[in-house]
Amino acid sequence: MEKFIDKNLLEGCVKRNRKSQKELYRLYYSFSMKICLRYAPNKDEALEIVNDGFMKVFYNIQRFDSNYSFISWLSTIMINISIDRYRVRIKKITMEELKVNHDREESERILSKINYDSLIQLVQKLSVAYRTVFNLFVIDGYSHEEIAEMLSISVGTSKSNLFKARENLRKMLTETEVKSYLPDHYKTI
Amino acid sequence: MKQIPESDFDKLFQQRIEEANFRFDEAGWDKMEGKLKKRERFIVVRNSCIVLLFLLAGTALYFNKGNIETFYKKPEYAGSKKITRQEESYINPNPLSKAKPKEKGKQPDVSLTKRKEQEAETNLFKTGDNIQFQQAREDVNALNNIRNDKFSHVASITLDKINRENLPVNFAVGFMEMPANTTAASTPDSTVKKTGKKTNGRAFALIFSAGPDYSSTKAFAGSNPRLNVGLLLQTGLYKNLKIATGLRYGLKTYAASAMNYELNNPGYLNVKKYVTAIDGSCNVLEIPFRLSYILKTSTKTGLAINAGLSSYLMLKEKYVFYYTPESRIPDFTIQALNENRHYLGVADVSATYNFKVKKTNLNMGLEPYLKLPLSGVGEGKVKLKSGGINFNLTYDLHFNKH
Repeated sequence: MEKFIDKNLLEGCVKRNRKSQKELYRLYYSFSMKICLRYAPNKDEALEIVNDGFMKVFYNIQRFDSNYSFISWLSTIMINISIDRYRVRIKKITMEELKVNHDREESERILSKINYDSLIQLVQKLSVAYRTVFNLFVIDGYSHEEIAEMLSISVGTSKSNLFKARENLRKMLTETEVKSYLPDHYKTI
Repeated sequence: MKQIPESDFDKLFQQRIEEANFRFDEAGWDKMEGKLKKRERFIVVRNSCIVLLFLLAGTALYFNKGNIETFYKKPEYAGSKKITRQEESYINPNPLSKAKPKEKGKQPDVSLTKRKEQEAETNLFKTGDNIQFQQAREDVNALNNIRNDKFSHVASITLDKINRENLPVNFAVGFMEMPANTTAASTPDSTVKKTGKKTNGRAFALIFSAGPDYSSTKAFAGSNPRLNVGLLLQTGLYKNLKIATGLRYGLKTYAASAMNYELNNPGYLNVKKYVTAIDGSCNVLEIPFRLSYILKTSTKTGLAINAGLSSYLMLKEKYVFYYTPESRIPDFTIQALNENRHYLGVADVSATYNFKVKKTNLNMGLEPYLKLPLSGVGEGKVKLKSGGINFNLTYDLHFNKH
C-alpha cells in the first residue's frame, strides 16, 4: 500500500469520479478496516465506520495536500469517526465482569501464537471505553494527554482505562474460549 | 508468578494487529456507493431548494422593484444633477422627519423653519447668471415637492411667500409647469403613501394553524390522517414577500417496508429479509422557515405561495416490526425518546388562500402543503413524505404609527 496517493487518482476523486473513488476505496480498504475493526465491536459496524470515513474522505479530499502522507490523514479520519460513533458510550466506564482466573504468566506465550481474528475478538470484548483508550495508546501511539483531549476525559481516567484494558486482555488471553483457537498443545496449558 | 512487562505486551499486540490484511469487499463498496448516491441526491435537492428560494426572492424583488426604489432611494428632482449637502438639507421631502417620531402632533421648530425659508429665498433670488438661475430652478423644484409633503406645512408657506413677479420669464414658466397637485407617482407624497404600505408589509402576524397531516414513505401522502397544530410568527420582508417561523407539533403515523429502514443495529441486517411490515409512529416538533410570495391580494382575499425548509425534532418514536410467520420471530418494538434531530432536513411547499374576517384583524385561510424529505428521518432514516391541509387563523399585529 502506497503511503502517498497517486496524483491522478487524487484529481479523479476531487472531481468526484466514481471510478477513482472506487479505486481509492479498493486500495485503502484493508488499511481502514484494520483500524475500524479495533474500535468497533464487530465487523458490520466496522464496515459502517469505514464507509462513513470514506464519505468524509471523498467530500473533503480537495483539502488534502498530496505532499503529505495520505495514510496518516486517512487513519486520523478513521480514528476520529470511530471515536465520534462511540463517544457517548466511551464516557460510561463499564466493563463486563470477567470470571476467568488463570495464570498471567501464560499471556505472553499465548499472545505470540494467537491469530489475528482471535486477537481482534479479544479487543472487541473490551468495553468501549477501555477498548478506545487501549487502541489509541498502544496501537495508534497517542499520549494520555492527547487521548484525554480527544475523548474529553481526564488523563487519570485515560491511564486507568488503559491499565484495566491490559489487565482484562491478559485475563482473556488465558480464557478457555481463547485457548480453543490455539493449537492443541496450548490447550493443555 | 511471572507477568509480562507492559511494553512487551503492547509491542506484541502491535505486531499482531499490523499483520492483518483484508481483501477488498465488493459488497462493502456497494454500500459505499449507495451512501454516495444518497448524498449526491441530497445535495441536488438541497441546492435546488436554495435556488428556488433565491428565485422566489428574486421574483418578488423584481415585481416590487418600484416600491423598493421609492422606499430606499433619496428623492431626486427634475433638473438636479448633483445635490450638495447644503441643498440636501431642504430638498429633503420631509425636513422634520428626524424629529417627527418624537414630536408627533406637535408644531415644528419655528426658528429652524424660518432659517430654512431664508436660506431658500436667498438661493432663489441670487439670480444674475445661468448657474444661479439653474440653482434657483432646482430650489423651486424642491420647494414645490416640499409643498406636497404633508409633514411640512411650513415649507408650503415659504413657497407662498415667493414673489413670482421677481422671477425671470423662463423661470416663471418652469414654475407654472410644476403644479402643486403634481401626480402622486412623482412626488415625495407618494413616497410617504408607499412607505405606509411598506410599514403594513413589515407588520407582524401570528398564524395559528391546525389540520390533518398525511404521512407516508411511498406516496406523497399517506392514508392515515393525524392532527397537526402550529403557531407561526410572520413578518414582511418586502411588499409581497413575507417570512415566517415558529413551531408545529404533530403525530406522524405511517406504514413502511423493511427496505425503507436503515437501522444501525447490525442484527437488523440478518432479519431484515423476514420483515413484512413496519408501523411507525413519531411525535414530531417541527421548526419551519418559510418564505411566502403574495400572488394576489385584495381587501377581502389573498393568495400566496410558500416555500421553505423545516427542522424536525423527533420527540418520541415508536416502530413495530412484523415478521413472516415462517421466521417465527415475534413482533418487535423499538422506542426512542429525543434521539433524532434533522436540521433543515425537510423541504416544504404550500399555497395559502386567505379571506379577511370583517371589522377585525383576523384572516382565515386554507393551506394545502407538501413536505418532502431531504434526508432520512428518525431512527430508521426513512424518507418520510407528508401532505395535508392546514386551516389557518392569522391575526395581524399592527405596530405602525399611522
